[in-house]
Amino acid sequence: MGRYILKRLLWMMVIVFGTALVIFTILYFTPGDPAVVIAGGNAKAEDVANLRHLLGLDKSYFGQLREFMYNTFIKFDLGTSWVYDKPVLHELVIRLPRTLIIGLSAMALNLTLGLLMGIFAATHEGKWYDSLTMGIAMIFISCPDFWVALIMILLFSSQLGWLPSYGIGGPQYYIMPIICSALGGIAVNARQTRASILGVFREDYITTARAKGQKEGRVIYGHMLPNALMPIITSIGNGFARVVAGSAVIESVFSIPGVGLYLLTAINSRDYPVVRACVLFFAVFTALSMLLVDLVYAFVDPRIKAQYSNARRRMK
Amino acid sequence: MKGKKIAALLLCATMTASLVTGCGSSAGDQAVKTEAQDAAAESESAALADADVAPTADTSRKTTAESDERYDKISIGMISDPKDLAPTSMNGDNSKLFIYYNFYEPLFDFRNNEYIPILAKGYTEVDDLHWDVEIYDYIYDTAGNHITADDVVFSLNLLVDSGNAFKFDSFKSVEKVDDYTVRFTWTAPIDSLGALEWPWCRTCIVSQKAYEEGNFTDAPVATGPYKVSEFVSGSRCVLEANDDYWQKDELRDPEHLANVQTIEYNIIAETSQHVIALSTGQIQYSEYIPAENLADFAEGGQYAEGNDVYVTQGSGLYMLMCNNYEGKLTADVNLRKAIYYALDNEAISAATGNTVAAKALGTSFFSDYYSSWEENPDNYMASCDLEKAKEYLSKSGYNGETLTLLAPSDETIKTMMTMIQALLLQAGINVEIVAEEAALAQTDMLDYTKWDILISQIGGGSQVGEWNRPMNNTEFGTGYNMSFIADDTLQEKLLNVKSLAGHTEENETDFVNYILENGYYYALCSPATNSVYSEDFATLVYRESEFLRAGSCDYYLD
Repeated sequence: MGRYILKRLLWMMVIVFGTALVIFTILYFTPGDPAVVIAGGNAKAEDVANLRHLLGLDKSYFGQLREFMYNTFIKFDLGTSWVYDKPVLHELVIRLPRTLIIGLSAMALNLTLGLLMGIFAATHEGKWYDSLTMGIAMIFISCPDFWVALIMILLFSSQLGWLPSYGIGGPQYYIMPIICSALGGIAVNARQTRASILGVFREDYITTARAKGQKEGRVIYGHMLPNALMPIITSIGNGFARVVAGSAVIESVFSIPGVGLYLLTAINSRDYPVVRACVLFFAVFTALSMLLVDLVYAFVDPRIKAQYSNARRRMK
Repeated sequence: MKGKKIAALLLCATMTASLVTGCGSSAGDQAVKTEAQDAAAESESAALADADVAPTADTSRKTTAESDERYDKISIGMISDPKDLAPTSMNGDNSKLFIYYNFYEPLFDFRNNEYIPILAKGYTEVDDLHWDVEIYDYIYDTAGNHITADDVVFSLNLLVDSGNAFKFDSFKSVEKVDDYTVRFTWTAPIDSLGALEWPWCRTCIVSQKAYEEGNFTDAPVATGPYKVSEFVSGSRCVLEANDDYWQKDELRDPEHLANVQTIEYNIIAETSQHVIALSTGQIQYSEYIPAENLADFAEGGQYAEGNDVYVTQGSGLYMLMCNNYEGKLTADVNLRKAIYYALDNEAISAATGNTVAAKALGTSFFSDYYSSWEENPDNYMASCDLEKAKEYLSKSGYNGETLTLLAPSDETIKTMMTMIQALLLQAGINVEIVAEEAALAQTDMLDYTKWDILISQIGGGSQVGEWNRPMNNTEFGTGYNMSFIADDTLQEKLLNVKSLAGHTEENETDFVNYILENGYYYALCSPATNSVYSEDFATLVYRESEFLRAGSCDYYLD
């Protein structure tokens, strides 16, 4: 298992290195001069040229790439934002908790409600509450999160005045963003759970468990769910990766200064050090999420764990 | 199975009905709808009829201006993030201009074409190239650091070294003369209006000691009437009144007051959120309410209680220009005039909902704008004249080619572009719209191959300052100005009206006439500032006509 993790971590480095190269190249060839944007509409040509020199934008593609790669992978320095005038890592560290609070809480809500709704629908297959649950899930999937966000703001902030509509502060500021982020995931998890459980519903070992007189709860949570978990874990893994990478929309609607909004602002103002650092950060986060999913596979499925062990024995 | 089929049929019918309802309408419906729209527009106009009248304090009520008390707290909605609060990064970012002058102060303010002393007591011209500026000897920042000539020299050099010292062409160096006097050395004799605006009025003066020991990106320490108590990048900036402001009450500038104890700037990225935040009282002032929602806050509107609207003309100008580069279709003066005569500023302005139509080549906001220009019979901005447009078009070499109209893709400009396209089509001129992201548009406008007609928003501290950016052929380092004109006469006339001696009505009028004669430029509209404010404000005070000085506004205390 240790070798497997090491191998995956090495692959992850290759992925991150490739991502860095790709994002640097894309930004380099993106039309629009960052120095012109940063200097503003009043700056004269020589002011812009000075700024371009100061930012290192007058160097060649390979000159800039070499500097970026050296700073990132040798000095572990993500650079300083051109418009925020602060180290990018410092700003990421400040903003990440806000993104994670929303993302992880939404994830927890996804898991809990999604699994419960899926199990409920599967165990009542064909009945009206199965249709109702799946209907609700379909509505959740069909509604874009920014639209749900606006409707919730109108209802809970404008009409009822219960929740603040923007910004950060106490826990009340996070309620609407978390719910809006979670809805789509709840629906996906519910549908996935239902389908997976129905897949094992008529398996022989379930029939045997029932024939042995085990209680229905024990049958569902002790036998059905562990065997139906694999596709659910895949779905959760994807959702986990989206927690950070997909945060821009909700953060923008609710004006939450998280990593997503940081990236969005940086793109609009051509703040390349921030864009590069955020994309790299998302790549690392996604790769780690996928690694985590694979490890959880091994944890919940003895067959996969056995594969790793057999491979090690064969190596010996 | 039968039930499912019926349900499916019903769903199909519902979808079709909703599509028909959403997309089509009969002629009768259209007439009814148009009447309804007209009525709605009329009621909106009626509601906003008084919106261009500046709020005046009700003399029967107690206000901060007549009292030593301060208003407790005011929350202001902003749409863009100031990102950091460093003294060297103000230029080029409007959100910073909105906030910075509360806590940073320059040597002078630039107001009505005059330098108003703030930290400076005044200036003396030693000779053509050397000017002395004396500062007050009792200036202290909020941390108690004494500001001396050394700090002024440090602050100017800090800005120059940061690479953000834009428009410092006149500035060569600055040195200390004595503890409270600095000597500026200029690159050439100062003979143009506003030449010192940037080194004198846009350089934040800070204590060297405070700067070297502190963290100015998040917690700046300066001399202004407010101090920063909290700054969360991307979320909010909270300022508290500086109780130990250095200047004596009798000498205190009216734009450097602290009539409110706490000012909170909230960064709210979505305009729809500004509407909600204002309607629920979370903020008390915003300039980002969409034009269609303004009537809601004016008299008779659903959120009118406790709120009001003030629409004011900003100092900026949306200018339309044709590409004069040799070989371009629009290098033909007849085609340019055909384009200009086909445009209707009133219609374009009405379509945008947040601009004021230009009537001549400038912005009536400035004191060096003269309304006599509007009466000039050759003033093609006065009104739309389709006959004249067709006449000029027939004289031009235009044969139905498609002209490229380039501009940044902001909502107001996109509306303008659509209107311009339709108006020019009426005259027989085909136009394709290229609305680019602002960063890309700023780069592409410097490339003559990318456009035939350009819309650019320009600004300045005076009328001649505003003209400078698009018309001065030294601005872009190419020998051409923004519309690729290399006309020595135009340049000479521009430099003349910019100079202190040549800045007269006669010269400016001559300059405008020369532009009209050659069809070089066309002023479209000025952006209006749509301010929605709570009725706790007794008066509103703006710096450079567009940046609210919340501390200097007057507030009702009862």
